[in-house]
Amino acid sequence: MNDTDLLLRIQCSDMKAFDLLYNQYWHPLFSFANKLLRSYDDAQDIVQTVFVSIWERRDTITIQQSLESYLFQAVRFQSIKKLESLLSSPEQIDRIQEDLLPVFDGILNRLQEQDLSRQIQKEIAGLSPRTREIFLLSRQYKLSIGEIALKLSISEQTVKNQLHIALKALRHSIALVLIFYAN
Amino acid sequence: MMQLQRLKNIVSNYLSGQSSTEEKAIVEHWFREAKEASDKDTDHGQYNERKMIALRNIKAAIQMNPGKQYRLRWAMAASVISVIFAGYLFRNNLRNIMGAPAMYTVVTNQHQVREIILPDSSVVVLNVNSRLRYPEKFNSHRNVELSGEAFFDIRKNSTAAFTVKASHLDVKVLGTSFVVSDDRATETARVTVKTGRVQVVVPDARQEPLSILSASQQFTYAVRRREGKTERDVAVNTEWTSQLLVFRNTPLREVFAAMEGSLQVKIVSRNEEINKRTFTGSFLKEDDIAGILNILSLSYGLKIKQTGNLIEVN
Repeated sequence: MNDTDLLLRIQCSDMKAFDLLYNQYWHPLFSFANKLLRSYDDAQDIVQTVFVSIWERRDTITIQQSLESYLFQAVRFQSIKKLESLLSSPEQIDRIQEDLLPVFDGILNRLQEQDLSRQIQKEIAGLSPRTREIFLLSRQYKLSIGEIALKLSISEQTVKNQLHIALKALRHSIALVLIFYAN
Repeated sequence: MMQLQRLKNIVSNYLSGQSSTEEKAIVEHWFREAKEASDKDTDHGQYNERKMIALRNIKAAIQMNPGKQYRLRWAMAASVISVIFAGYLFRNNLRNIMGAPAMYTVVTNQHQVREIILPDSSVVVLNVNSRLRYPEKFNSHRNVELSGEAFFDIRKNSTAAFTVKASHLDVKVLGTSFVVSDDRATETARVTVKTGRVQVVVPDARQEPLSILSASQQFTYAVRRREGKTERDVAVNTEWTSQLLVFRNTPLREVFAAMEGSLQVKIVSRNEEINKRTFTGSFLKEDDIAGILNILSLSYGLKIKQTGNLIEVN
């Protein structure tokens, strides 16, 4: 039975179809909610709420995409609502500090790194071709100033000057981070 | 490390649709990373017990809130029996076909308090916004389901235990009177004993409570913390059980509609100015229709004319 038929039968109050839906989606939904909130109990709660609400609102449910994405969307929504209520209950503080904050912290750090590297790429792209070439040889290919001078048949002083221009062009903080990561 | 307050802002902004680009990205990453991790989690048998328990909970919740086919049946029947049954009683025929005993469900709205006589002549008074489900006939167990608040005065039968299944609590008795207050959304479920002894079971509690209660004792269960506690010498509030209709700043239009539902009368009030005025107060079971009309007419200076079951308001 495909999802459209399944939904249609549920809308006709067919409890067997509802059981089929449950058996098909329990595991992925429960596992997803559990990965979000790091709690089996909360995950179970969320899946229960989602299925009860599907049954109760079966008359009015219209599904735009697939039944699967509708269910996952419902779990996403219930999970963030649950997170909101966890955040406002003092007895959950420990658990949030230990299990949930580090998750969000990690995401924030990764996003900031991504942002930074994207910004740096943009600024490198804006350098003059010559400066960019010297800069990349130095930072990406890790060539020494002497090696770059030899390779491009220019003086070491010119290489130094060009690198100086590059680092000045890339904003100070970004350059520092780049040097930090590159080394 | 991210501060708690920062996370709170991220979550509440997301829910109110006011996220900054970064906040939105954080939440979406949270979703995406969890989805990727769960896609790798393919051991389907791992949580089978939980899966069964969850389905049982879902079914219990669904049955407390009957669905389409019942509502439809109800609507058809209501036109015929509304005068007799005030419209809130219906029979679940589907269950009958399936071999289980027929179940009755009684629902009260925000104005109604209803008295129900169970098959064993026990009496239940259902407070406003509540729902009671019970079988047409009891067998060796007397089981009913409650969502909301109700006072139970249960006939003694030492061979058939009486159990109230509420959203978070099960209350088991042999014969006694008590109040149960519990629904799915509640933060605190409560059982208060007026006479006799009851046993409270909380399937979800962290610790099984010491839960034989006797007269004037009250058990409260904090749903979020999953903890129960028992108090002694509690005054049992059963005043509301003598009420019939309860109104708080209710437009008279609704008051009239509720009276029609509970008192088997038809009220005609065409003056919208009157219908919009609000009423706060309650009518008791012993109040008769004439007394109630008298109160309303004195309070609002209304002219009320009663002809049999037809009441005209001017």
